[in-house]
Amino acid sequence: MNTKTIVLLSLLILLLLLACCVMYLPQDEMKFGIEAAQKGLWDEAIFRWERAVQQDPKSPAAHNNLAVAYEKKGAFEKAEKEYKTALELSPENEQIQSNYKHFKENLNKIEKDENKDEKR
Amino acid sequence: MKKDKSLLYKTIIIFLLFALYSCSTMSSYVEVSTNIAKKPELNLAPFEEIVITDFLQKKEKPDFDINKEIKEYFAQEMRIKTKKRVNLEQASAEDEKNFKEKEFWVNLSDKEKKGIIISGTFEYKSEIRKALIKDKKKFEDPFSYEDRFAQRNMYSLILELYFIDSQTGEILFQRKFSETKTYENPNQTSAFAFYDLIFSIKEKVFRDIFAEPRPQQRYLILK
Repeated sequence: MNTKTIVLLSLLILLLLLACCVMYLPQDEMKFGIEAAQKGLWDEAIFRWERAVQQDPKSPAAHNNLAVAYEKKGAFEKAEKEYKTALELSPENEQIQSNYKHFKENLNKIEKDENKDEKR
Repeated sequence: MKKDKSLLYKTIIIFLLFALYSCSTMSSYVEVSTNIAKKPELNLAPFEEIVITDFLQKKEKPDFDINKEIKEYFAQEMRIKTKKRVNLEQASAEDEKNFKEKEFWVNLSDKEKKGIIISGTFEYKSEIRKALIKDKKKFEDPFSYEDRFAQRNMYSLILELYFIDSQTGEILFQRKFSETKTYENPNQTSAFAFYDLIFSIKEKVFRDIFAEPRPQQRYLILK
């Protein structure tokens, strides 16, 4: 490998790195959604993340965030669906796993209570 | 010299490739604490009135009318929370078995009105705990220690609550709540301690019945 090739290769990788960083800057909808959620505006957050899912249906982050928002609003079925999608897309993600674990803990409690009601 | 340069370039390339890999796999997230909604355990909407009966006392008898205090406390809190009419009934289960006897509760209340009966059992205990502890000498030598007895007053309230449909006698909600508090003040009276305990229990009861949301942590992911 001569010096020219190596310099060119380095430049190419640097360019890729730069592109990668720009590409991974938080997308507007995702960022907006998170800001809204942090201010307690969960309906706005849902609107943003639904759009983010439409734009990129394979984004585990968008599905996860949407699931959290649905859970917050008490739409447990929708939340479970979104959590499952997020986990299918990114099964190793620790944050999604943690969210889903806590969600299931809540849900199991609710389901147990519902079963009790039915028995009554 | 040429070899050294080549090695340097290779190192730079490896470093850049590593940075590229890290960048592509890195994820960022924020942790939010939010009150998560929960389904209410008891729907009080269909009930016209709330009837609070006497509570069955277990074991020790305190030095004040605790039954009256529990009834009045819950009557007041339920009135504020539900905006429903609350009646106090001077009747109670004679035995714990009565709670499961539907007829007992149906006969107790006005059959024309759809009401919910709140009843239960209570146990109020107080204990004095003493322990030998090491404490700094106050006057003679602040760096030496002396043994002394420390005394704590401990109070426990165990309240088992039953929410019963007055027309069917069915138990709609039943749970045992227990609360203990320890006080350093030797002059702490059991009546004052009771109000601390009943407040903590009321918080738990309302959290379960009215599904008051609890703060929970969740992760929101940026990318």
